[in-house]
Amino acid sequence: MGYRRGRTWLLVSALLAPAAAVAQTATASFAATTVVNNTALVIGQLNGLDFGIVLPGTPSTIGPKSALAGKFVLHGQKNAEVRITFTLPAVLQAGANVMPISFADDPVAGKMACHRNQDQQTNCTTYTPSTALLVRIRNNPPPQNTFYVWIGGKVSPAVGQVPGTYTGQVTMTAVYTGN
Amino acid sequence: MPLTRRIRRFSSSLALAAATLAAGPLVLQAILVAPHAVFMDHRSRTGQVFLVNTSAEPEEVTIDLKYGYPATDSAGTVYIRLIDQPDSTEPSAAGWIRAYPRRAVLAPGQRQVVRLLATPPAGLPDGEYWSRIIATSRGSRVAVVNADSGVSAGLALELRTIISLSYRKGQVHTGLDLTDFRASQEGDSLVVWFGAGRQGNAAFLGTLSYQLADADGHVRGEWESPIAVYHPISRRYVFPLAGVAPGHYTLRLSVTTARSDLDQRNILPAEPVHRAVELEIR
Repeated sequence: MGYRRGRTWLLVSALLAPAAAVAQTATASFAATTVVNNTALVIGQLNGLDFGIVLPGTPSTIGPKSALAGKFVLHGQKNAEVRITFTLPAVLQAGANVMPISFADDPVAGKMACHRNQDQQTNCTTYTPSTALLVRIRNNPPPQNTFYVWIGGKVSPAVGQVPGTYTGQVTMTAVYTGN
Repeated sequence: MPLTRRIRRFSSSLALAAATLAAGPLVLQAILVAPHAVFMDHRSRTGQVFLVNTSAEPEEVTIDLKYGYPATDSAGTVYIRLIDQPDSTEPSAAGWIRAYPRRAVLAPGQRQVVRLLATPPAGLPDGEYWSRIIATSRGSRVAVVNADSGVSAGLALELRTIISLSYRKGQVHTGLDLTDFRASQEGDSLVVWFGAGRQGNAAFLGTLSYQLADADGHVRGEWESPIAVYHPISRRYVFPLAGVAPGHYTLRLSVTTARSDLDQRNILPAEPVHRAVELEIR
């Protein structure tokens, strides 16, 4: 919903002002996307979720505020409502071999995803990625018509984990609700 | 502006977007889908969607159509109800609109026009018929470090973008039945419940405008939100009350068919709805 008037706007503007320059820099590549502007929805992955080499018997966790977290950006009609959901795997596979992966809340790392309408990972709001996120694209003209999501996870290789490259698939769905 | 010129201009914008993106920082995977709402009519029976691969890697994109519409859950939150096999009472167009091509591999920066062709059943009654267009893209790259003798782990990503499609035949009309309008203070927020159904044979697309006025009639807060009513909804809104002094207030609601995000030529006219409720802010 658009806040058109009142002190709330001033407060929000004041809070967001220092971050605007950061977002501008980080999303410079999307400047022209926003030329397409009002009618396009762009969903992009800026960083993959890559656990790299893991040690058998030692769980490996990437938090959503880590530099290694998966990073996504949406550009769309300013103030448009978008519902974002993830379909997440329970295991990674290498041929017939599997390795558990979890996106559930972790006692140490906390919730495994976070979101913010600007590119400010350290200030993002954490949430559980298996739940739906109903948000609005930042109510600013292009190229500031953004929304960012970061996602982490935890893999738990077994002590005798068979060597290999274990992969799985994450599906991110963005729906314009029209509301 | 003539349709062909609009399409040409739109297409040029897409090309510019793709070119600039290609020159920017690396985007591992990205797909642009435009427009975000497609309108077709019974005279032309055609439509189109533009796809652009805005990443630096090839992308495989598939297009599917499925019946669906915005609905609300018990918490007043919106979601898209997708129905694989809608019954005959549902105005589904998903079964008789086809996308060409349904699958494409797009090189970095490449754009693809997906043409939509409707073959509606004979004797289709006048009205509006709905579907959702699902564009699914998969990158060729898996985020993982290869390990010949060790163990490595990474994830591949699939991106799904879902947009609306409306097909109109003959006389179409719409309107809004306001079934619920309540407001109360909860902590530092104003919580509003908005319930509505639609009239006529087409979805109601419009905008909700709220004004919070004090006892002297001065407006202390204004908010607005697009609204789409396909089937009855019960929506919960939360607005901040920071800076609003305690006292007696009136919350005024106006629902009109103005939409800033859609071409007004695609918006069906309807009578505006106005309502007001009173509340205390403590």
